[in-house]
Amino acid sequence: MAKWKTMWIVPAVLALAVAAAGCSGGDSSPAADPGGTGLEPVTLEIVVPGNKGANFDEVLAEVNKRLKTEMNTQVKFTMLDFADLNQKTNVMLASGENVDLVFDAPWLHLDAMASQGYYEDLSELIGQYGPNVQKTRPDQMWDANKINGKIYGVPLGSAYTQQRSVFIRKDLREQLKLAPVKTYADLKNYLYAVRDGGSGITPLLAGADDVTYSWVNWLIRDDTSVNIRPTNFSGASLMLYYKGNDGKVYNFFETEEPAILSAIADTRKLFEDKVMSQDVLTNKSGPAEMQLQNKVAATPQMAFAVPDSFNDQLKQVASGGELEPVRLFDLTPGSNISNFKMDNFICIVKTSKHKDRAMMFLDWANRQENYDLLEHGIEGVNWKASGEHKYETLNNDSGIVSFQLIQNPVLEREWAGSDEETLKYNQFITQDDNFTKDVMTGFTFDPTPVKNEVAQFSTIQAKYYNGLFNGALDPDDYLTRFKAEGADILKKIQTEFQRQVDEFLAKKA
Amino acid sequence: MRVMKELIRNRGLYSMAIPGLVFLAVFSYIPLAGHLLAFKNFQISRGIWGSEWTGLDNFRFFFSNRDWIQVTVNTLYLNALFIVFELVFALLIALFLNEIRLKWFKRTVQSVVFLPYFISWIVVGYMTFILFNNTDGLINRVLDMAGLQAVDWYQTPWVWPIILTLTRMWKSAGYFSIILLAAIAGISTDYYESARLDGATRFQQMRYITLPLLRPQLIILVLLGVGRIFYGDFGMIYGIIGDNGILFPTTDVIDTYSYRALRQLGDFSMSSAIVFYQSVMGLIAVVSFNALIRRIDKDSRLF
Repeated sequence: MAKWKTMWIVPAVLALAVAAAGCSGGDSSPAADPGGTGLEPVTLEIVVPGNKGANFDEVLAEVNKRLKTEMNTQVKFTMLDFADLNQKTNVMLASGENVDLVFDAPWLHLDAMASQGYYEDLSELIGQYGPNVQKTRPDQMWDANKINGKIYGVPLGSAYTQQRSVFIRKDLREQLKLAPVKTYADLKNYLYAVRDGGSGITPLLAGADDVTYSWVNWLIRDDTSVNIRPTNFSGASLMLYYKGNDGKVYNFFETEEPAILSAIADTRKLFEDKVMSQDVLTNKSGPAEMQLQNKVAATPQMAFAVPDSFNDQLKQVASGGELEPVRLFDLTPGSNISNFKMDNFICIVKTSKHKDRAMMFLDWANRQENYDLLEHGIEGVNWKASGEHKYETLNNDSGIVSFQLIQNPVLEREWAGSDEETLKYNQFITQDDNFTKDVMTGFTFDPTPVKNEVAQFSTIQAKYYNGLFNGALDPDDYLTRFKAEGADILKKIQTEFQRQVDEFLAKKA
Repeated sequence: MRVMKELIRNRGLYSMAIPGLVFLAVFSYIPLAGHLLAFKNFQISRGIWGSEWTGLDNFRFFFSNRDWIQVTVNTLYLNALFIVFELVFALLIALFLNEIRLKWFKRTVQSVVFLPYFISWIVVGYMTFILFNNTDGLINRVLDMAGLQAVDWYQTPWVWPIILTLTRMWKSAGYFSIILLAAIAGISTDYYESARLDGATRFQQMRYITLPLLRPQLIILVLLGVGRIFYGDFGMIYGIIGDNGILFPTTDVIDTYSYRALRQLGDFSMSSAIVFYQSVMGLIAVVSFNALIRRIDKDSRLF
């Protein structure tokens, strides 16, 4: 039994080791200061959506090399899949994980997180460390993107509305002997022709996991005759919407808005006619992925032009396969309304220990040479400059981040290979005077007074919205049920929303 | 003093428990304090103690909508199905494996039934989609070939408790059967020898020796299951059902429901309220089930 006397040391040491492992970490090597900046060495943790490209490590190494000499800083990126973005950032923030810069957006949970105090108010930091962050964005953009009068995130974007189109198969269209698709009627024509063409490809797939991509939302967005816009009380849901520019919050259960109703009926027909994918609610792969696998012939996409990489991928699966965009966006100046609200933001986390440095890094990233490195990769290897604000690609690799961290209208370059038509659309949306200014510009809804109702409505909406707005559920039956369950709760949210809107408008007047 | 003496005398043996106790403290006992958040309007900037108390306000979103009954019933119902069928199936596998005399065959079967346990629910979700989808699903193709009408599986809520139970059986029965098999291996061969001398058949040996002696293990496995009966298996339900609202009436559990309610708001207190509800109900379930066992078979109770 003698060996028992010392045996207890093993588990005890093990326990200590576990405990010690939990406590270690942090800045381990207080390395030298090669640039002579007089700054403490800092490693910034950055969390953004996206994928790591093939040359991610090379570009990041160059970024860190420059940062080391200029401000004794290193950056570490955590790239999250869009599908996990909501949940993971939520948990990271709520658990106070060690993150300095995090991506957020109105379509994610920016307003809720900001009002709960997860993000730092940036006004002072920008004034002190961010001259480049400031001057690469027009004043109008700063004014329009405040939350409760404060800047909780640097607005990211170079246009006043999102690029959008429906990607269809050019090769299929030509095989079916159809003229180029210009209108929604043409598009439907194409979809039915694909269905009857015997290729076995599903004609249309909208995106049911994100309300923005539901087919009804997609159609309504480009209908400038009604100018219906989501209020963002619950993602891009149209159950409470703005219409025109009258500062009123409309409740779909009450108005039964004809434009939305007819789009729902129309989409239902597409589903019943087996034009819309029968698995629109359950597909495990996203629309783009399915389209590039040669399984779907049309998908809604946030772009005016098809990226080259898409066509390269498609050709590997279907020889001769080629995508082309169908743009239903209205190019009449003044017909689209914009609140100049950007879709994406980069925020500094309240619990960060390196807020100053995080802003210094953002300022660094908003200088042309660094902006180009982050967005397009290494100059001379991945891309080269071409004329004023244009670039040419040299190989298939690009940079590591763009819309997630730095994008702004001043430094953004246009791809030199874009065709005339695409350029026309791209340039249209970067001009602020092409848009009518939304009276709600600068307004943000604070959900806290009705958070119970918002939570409840989210669960009810989850049962019906995607099904109805993608045609999978019969509106005659399910819209009635949706109304029976949700009308009272939605009314309460609407009343509070309208109260906040009125207060905002009164203050402005 | 007696306790201290005992601890010191057998310190070698007792110290073996340290890693486990540390683990338990860090991951089970310390987080209990988190239940406080359920009664506060937690704001990270103000900290736990700085946030104001709000009474039962955080529970309101859940209980003021009658869906809470539905999701609670679904959680209980699905978990009960899982516990019963998993264990029955595991027991059958264990008994079957125990009767096999060919060593290599026994080992192979054991590995094959155990393997699914290691597959992630996300992958299982893809597998069920490949089987049941409406575009080119395997099952519908087979039905088609057999001249039968294809079924819109993902639009038919009532079949999903069955599909989920089958998936669960396929995935975890092998795991439980290993536990039971270990227990069977511990049964003294003397019983079987004397039974054989008395002319008992193999089936009779199973019925009168193996099964009764397995009872404590079975009861513990059931108790462990009952303890988590108010926790829906989020990974499973979300991996397989996802956001398909049509199937919610039969498959939505407390965890998926509150996830959808709160993912937009990101409100920590409201999520804690749900966890608090689940913990309290789980505690009640375990204590009452244990009391029931105590009545039936005093020696098998857990506490």
